[in-house]
Amino acid sequence: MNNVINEIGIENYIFLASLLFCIGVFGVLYRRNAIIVFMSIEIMLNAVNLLFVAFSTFRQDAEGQVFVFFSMAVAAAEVAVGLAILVSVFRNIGSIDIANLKNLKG
Amino acid sequence: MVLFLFTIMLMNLNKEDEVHKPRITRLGAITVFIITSVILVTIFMNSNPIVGEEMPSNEDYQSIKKLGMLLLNEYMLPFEFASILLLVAMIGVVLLSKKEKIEKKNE
Amino acid sequence: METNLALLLLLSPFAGFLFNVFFGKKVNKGISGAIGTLTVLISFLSSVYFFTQFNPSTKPIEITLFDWISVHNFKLDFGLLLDQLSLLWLLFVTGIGSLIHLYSISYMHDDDNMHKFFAYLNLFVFFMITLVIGSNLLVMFIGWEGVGLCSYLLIGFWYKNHSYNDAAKKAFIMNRIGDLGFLIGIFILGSMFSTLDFVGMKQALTAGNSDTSLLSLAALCLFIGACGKSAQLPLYTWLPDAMAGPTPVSALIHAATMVTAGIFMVTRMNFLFDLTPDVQNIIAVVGTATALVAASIGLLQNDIKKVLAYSTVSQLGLMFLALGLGAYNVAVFHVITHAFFKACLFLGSGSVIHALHGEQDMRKMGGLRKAMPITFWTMMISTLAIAGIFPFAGFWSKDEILMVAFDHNKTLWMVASIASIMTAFYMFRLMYLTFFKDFRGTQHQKDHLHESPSLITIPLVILAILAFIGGAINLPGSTWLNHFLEPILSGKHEEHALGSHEYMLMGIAMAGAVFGILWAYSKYIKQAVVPQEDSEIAGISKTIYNKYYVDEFYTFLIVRPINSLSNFFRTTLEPSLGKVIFSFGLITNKIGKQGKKLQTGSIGLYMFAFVIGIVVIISYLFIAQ
Repeated sequence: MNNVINEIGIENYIFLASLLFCIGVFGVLYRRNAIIVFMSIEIMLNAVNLLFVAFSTFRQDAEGQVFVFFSMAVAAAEVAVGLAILVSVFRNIGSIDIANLKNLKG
Repeated sequence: MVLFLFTIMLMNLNKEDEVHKPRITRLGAITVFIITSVILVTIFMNSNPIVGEEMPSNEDYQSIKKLGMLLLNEYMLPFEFASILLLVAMIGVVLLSKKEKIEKKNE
Repeated sequence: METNLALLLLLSPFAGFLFNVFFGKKVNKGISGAIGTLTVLISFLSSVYFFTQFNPSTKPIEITLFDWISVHNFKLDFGLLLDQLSLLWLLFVTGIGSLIHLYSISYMHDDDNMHKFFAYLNLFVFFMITLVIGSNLLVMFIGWEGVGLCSYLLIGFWYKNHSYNDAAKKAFIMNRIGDLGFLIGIFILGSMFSTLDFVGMKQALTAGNSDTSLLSLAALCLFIGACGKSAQLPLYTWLPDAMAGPTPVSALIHAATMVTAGIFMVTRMNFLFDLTPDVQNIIAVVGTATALVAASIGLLQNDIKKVLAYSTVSQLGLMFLALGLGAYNVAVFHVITHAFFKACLFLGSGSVIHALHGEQDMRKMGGLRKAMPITFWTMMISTLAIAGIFPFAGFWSKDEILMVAFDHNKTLWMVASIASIMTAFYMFRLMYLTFFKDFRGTQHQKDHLHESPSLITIPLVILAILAFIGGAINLPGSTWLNHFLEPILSGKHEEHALGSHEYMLMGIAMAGAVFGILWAYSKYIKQAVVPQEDSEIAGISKTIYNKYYVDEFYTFLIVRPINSLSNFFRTTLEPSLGKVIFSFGLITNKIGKQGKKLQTGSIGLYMFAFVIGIVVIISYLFIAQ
């Protein structure tokens, strides 16, 4: 049977991944709630992961999926630490609006 | 994803607290979104077409067995580093989220 | 041995200067003055020693202290040259200098800053010695500048009076104008001969074939320097104003030493001036004109020191006349005799001023003959000398000048004789108004009239004796001075055997002087005229009394434009320049402020820039393919 990738065509995967990436970028820039920003970053990371897996299947090479492995591990670690920092910020300032984080101004 | 839910639980969020950014920033963000997407799409459309399709061989390339062999033979070093990274992240998170002892004593 | 003695001669006054600067305030006044006098006395004794070693045929002593400038083929040492000419000058500079130091111990006794006075005097003698014994034009120029500086310091010694400060500034600035000419002359000569050494230049010039027009220009520039320093037309107006300084200063600097520096320089460079007859003519004419103008102004002055100042300018004019006619030895003779009697006159007038507690107006003096006999007699001897009466010193030297003038140019002789007659007139006018008839001052002064203390009268007596017998150094029969200066003066020198021609000229000169004396006698003794108050003078007398308004002319022509120019700079140019320069800093500040706006602290903006940057890079990479 044919490869799934070959059935659908690799371009669609590429479009999907780039679209997801752009949505993630938009969310990072547009949203003021810090948690939503983090989630947008996650979207970007997942878009990249999707692209890696797609190419791995297309080239019938397992090494792409190994990279996804590590990417997910790093993403998890980053989210954990980021959310912990956010919790501290919330405890100090009382809101999670990133517009309030202006102490570096000037 | 569960992490997210836990964190949201830690903070008490109300719908009224949600604020929107000033108009100019909204406009800027939308513009950037459009630009980025257009550029990416253009790049991909104008790049060289992907050469041919490979014939599917019957070789096994994505089973867990294959992944495990790759991870522990060729990518051993990053694997170990990733584990240390996760350990350190865990410790960091625990440290950062600890409540101040003073607060507890004053209660 | 000779080097050490020469260095002692040079540096001893400088040591006195240092002592008085650093320790003068701590020791009492007598010691300060004594140290000052002693150092100059040491220089005098050293110069006497050198003098005894010299006769007309001795070779000059050349001492090189160190190499100073050595560029390409231009070499200049810092050296000393002791020859007959410099020794003569040294003798009378240090001799009269030490006498005046002695005088000042008593004269400046009441002043709080006496140690400063002696410091400046010592510094002046040091610079004058440098001027005289320098072996090249540049060392001489150091001394030249230095004596100008000391003149400024000493004229403005009583600095709390603003008009004295103005007089000091005027002296210095006019000197400076002359110095510019001097420097230009030095530059021309240095570029022509690659050396400024006197011995070297003499050899190069006597070898012949130099560009005469360039030499004339150099000689003219050097003469302009001499005009500034020796107060000739048109740079003479500082000398009468310089009388603002204490009387010993006037005696030392403006009678005997500094103003003779110009004549010294011209005599030193006689080989140059002999090759440029045009410049010599200019010198002679300028000298004569100065003599006449100054004598005419002196006729009507009422301040005792101003009369003497104008008399100095006039006599210097006569000396330049002699220089311009090539008779250098005659000029040197007159310099020496003039130093004696003019210093005596100034010191005597200082004694009078001191006795009258600062009164300088002759209209308020009179009848001092009985009260101050020594002063009277010494001043009388010096006045007879300056008027040119036989057998005092001035007769011989002035007569020589007139003889030389007669042989060369009858017009110059006529003008110089008129100036001499005027000299006799106003000098005796001074004597009659000051010492004869009745006292016209206040009763308080009259009660306190007494002869000055011995430290003042001793120098007076010594100088008067020298004024009496000073002519002996160059009597027409046994011309010791001419022979002594022979090795210096390469050109011709005038020597007159005593014939009927010379006797007749001498007789004419004497008759003119006696006529002046008798005229003054009839006016001020017989008719007992006392000069009018300032407001009553009218007509031509007023013009002459106001010094022909030359000062006002200079103010209008030079001082006002410079003042308005500097005003313009101060109010307009400097603030705008300041603004331009400050604006650099201000612009940087403003740019920085604008840059500060980038740092808003909002994360959204930072990420925005982040994304824009990535987009730009990717598109660039893509397009560049």
